[in-house]
Amino acid sequence: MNWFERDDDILLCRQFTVALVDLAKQSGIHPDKILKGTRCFYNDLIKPEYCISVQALLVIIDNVNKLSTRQDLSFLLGRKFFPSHVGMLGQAFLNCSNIAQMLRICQCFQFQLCPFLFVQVSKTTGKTHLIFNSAVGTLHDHQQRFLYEFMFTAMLGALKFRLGELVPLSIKLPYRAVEYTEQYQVHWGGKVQFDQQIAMITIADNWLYKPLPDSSLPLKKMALNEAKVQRLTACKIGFVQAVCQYIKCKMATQDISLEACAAHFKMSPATFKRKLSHHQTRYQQLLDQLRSQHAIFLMTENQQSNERIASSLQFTDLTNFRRAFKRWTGMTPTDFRHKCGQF
Amino acid sequence: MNFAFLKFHRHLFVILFVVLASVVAMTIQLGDLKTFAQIDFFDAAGEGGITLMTLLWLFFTLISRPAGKVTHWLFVGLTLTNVSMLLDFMDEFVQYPADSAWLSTIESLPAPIGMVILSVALYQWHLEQMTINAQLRRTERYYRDHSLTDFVTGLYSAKYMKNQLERECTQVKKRQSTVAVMMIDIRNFDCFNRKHGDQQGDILLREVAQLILMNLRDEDLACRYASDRFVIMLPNTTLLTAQAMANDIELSISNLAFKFGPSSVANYQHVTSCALIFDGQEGVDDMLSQLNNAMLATKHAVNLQASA
Repeated sequence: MNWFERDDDILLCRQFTVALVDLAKQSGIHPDKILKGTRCFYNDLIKPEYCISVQALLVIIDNVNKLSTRQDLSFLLGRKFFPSHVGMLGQAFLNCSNIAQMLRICQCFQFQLCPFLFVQVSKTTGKTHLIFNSAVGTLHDHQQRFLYEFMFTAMLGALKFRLGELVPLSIKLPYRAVEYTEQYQVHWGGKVQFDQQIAMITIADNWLYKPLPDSSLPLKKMALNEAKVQRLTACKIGFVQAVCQYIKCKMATQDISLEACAAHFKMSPATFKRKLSHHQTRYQQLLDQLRSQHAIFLMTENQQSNERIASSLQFTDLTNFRRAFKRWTGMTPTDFRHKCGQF
Repeated sequence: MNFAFLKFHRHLFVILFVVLASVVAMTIQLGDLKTFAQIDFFDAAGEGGITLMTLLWLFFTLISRPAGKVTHWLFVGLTLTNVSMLLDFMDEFVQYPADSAWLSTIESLPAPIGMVILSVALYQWHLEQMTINAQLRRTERYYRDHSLTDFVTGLYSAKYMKNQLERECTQVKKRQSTVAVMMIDIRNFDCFNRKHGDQQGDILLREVAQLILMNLRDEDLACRYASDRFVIMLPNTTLLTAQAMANDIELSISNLAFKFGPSSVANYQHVTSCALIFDGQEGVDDMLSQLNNAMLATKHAVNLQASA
């Protein structure tokens, strides 16, 4: 079994929670209040290899959201993440010779760096797109916001750290615009669009392959080797991520019925459904989400025709595709293209 | 709630307790308890409620104020009012024999005296507030909302600035004048935080905020925007003046000899600034995002210059 579930204790506390609890403490919230409902105490958190579940982290995020009026905690947390909170990998990042290598490390060590969101890399001419999805099932609005703010700030902070300034990027977010846009402007710098039904960072390839100063291949290799030894003990992906990856790779040509997927995971359809509902999601929901993302990406970045998109998603005719698209996004493909053209 | 001020008022609480206890003791001593049937519970509930409420006001007054003359006046006024209410309340439970009837005659006496004293105290409070308001200039304009203050610097937050900019924009359109908006960003703040820790970072932010305030005119307004960025609104100002003022701020911050804790080593910080001018036609979000883009461009230019 190489996947984990929502309530498996897999998140290393010193990496993901201690800093958050401390930040909240600095703004006057007692640690016990932040940890309420997680069944762990502050003294547990600071044990060297103590782990909590993703569910517990989400509860902490709920508590912080409820108790604090500050909107910058997720951003501050993200800023602290790199390079000091990522262990040996920090050394590896600091010795990469370009951003593309850093990205590669992120993908190989996703479990260590970001087990709750997974990234899919797509290329179009001259640009690289990173598409993000939840690896742990459906998230509430504020949980989703918090995790994206946290992880994106960490990534962009790492880029800024290595390149010396904020890189021009375009960022699309799936959730609605927030009131505190100033945090996004200052911490992320680039162009941020809300309510895009997709979470995506787009970076120009010339930045991705721009040589970084002060890098050393041998040092990077050494750091990676050490990190790999640590990885042997634990390298898993979220159950929902595993399902999503299965769907993505079979979406274009093969059978993606629930039964086929359950069989792939060696479960009965009933067990499979129960596991998904444990992650607050359903198979059809994941299917819709990934297919709509696929369609939106091809539409906005590749300017592909509806016919091609429909056939790449195994739709037998265009009418069906249009109807499905309307169900996913609330807009017809034509309206959607029109809306995106305005930006 | 923050009860830090309570420790300054221990003696006042002792006085309050003694006064209230002796009032209760005296009424019970002098009067006879009514029988259950004689008590009008409807009245008792109403008067008890009023007594409790005045006590609550007294409590909130004390936890929000440091010790001092005005606090003492407020305390005396509220306590006397409360004594009257309490006597009235006790009335419901005890009956005074003929030789103690004077008690019910004087029971309403403390209240008017207390209210006169309270009024004097409120006037004193007004004077005090005016002094504090004078200290708040450049950080506040016409409108107060404590929920919008920034936790770290004590300035107002971006949301307050947005509200005030909106207000100013309508004024500017009416007068057909302009408003200048300035943005200040601390250079390499990330680096500073990483080296010296967040706590020192917060202290730096606070000191930079103070320094910015010192460089402003009385009608200007400074707010913390986000992270290491500040926004300053300069009404009725030309771009040239705004740029000159931004320059002044840059200069004075670069001369601030920041010290870490007990260390006497000076640490000099630099800021990047940019200013734009608006005639009230754009929306506030639009203005701020223009300003941010200008800031990005300025920072990029500064970086190029540094590396060249």
